[in-house]
Amino acid sequence: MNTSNLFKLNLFLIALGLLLLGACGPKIEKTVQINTEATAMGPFFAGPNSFIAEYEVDLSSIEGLEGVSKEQLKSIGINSIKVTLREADSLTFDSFHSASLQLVGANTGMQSIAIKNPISSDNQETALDVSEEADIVDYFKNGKISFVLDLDFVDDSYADELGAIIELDLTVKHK
Amino acid sequence: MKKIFLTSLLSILFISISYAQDAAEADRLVGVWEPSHGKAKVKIDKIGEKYYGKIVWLKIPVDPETGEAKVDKNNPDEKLRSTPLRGYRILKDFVYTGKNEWTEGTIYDPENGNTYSCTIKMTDENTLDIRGYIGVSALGRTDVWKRLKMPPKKK
Repeated sequence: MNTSNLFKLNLFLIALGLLLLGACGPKIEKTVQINTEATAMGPFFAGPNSFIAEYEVDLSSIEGLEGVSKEQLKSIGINSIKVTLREADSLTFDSFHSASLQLVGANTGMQSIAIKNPISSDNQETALDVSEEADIVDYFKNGKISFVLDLDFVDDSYADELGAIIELDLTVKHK
Repeated sequence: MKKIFLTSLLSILFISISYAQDAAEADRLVGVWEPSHGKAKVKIDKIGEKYYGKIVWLKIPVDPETGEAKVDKNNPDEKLRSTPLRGYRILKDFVYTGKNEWTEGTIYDPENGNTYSCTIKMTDENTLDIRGYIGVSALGRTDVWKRLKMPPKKK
């Protein structure tokens, strides 16, 4: 093997080493909480009505993710989701048969992430059953997320506007 | 200077009008539609810039096996199988691409739990060709959906 070929081989091995190091580098795992308020304009007819929250992803404002960039995110799993009806609306969850939550991103399709059917809570908050398979990292990389909360109304409601706070407990893995 | 200002103003006006016309054309998809099998009615709405269709009516709303309202029992994600079928979004993520076509979306078949790529073509104001396919559009099936007409209001 001549010097030129040996140099090329060395270069290839270094590049391969760097690639493996990048792929297998240490990942950090953190549990973080985010929350957002979804609203819907009335009147509401019996059946499913959609509440929408527009959430602008700003990792520096999420406790535990300060200094992490979107490019460093590897996966985001969901531990739990709690929905609390706005106190001012004076509604409780026995007004609804079921609740489901979907995510939509500008460049990412809609994904169902949680459901509660039937709802057994008769107070202002309920925990949803979350998808254990869902990895929602792409939504966070895209910058803006729409949370679509479908509440299945038992009866018509003539409220002008209703709102609900969505709280997510997430496991974030990043480099 | 005045000429440049006027030209810019006219360009902005032209772009705004074109955008409004495109949006109005795209929004013709919004409404309640009935697939050919007649077992369901689907309401198409706009969320953000995309179109989504959810089941708002079922001919047989109760599952004869359980006696309860039908749920998405074939969902590949076991945790989501209690999602009610009434209210379920079976059409997702459609974008208007012009020439009466909405593409880049998917259609979900609750009878087998499969999701297919899908295109929607409006053949007239009250008729949609919904084509579901796997991989390439040639390998698929088209269903004709009719717009649900609301009864005239009583005077």
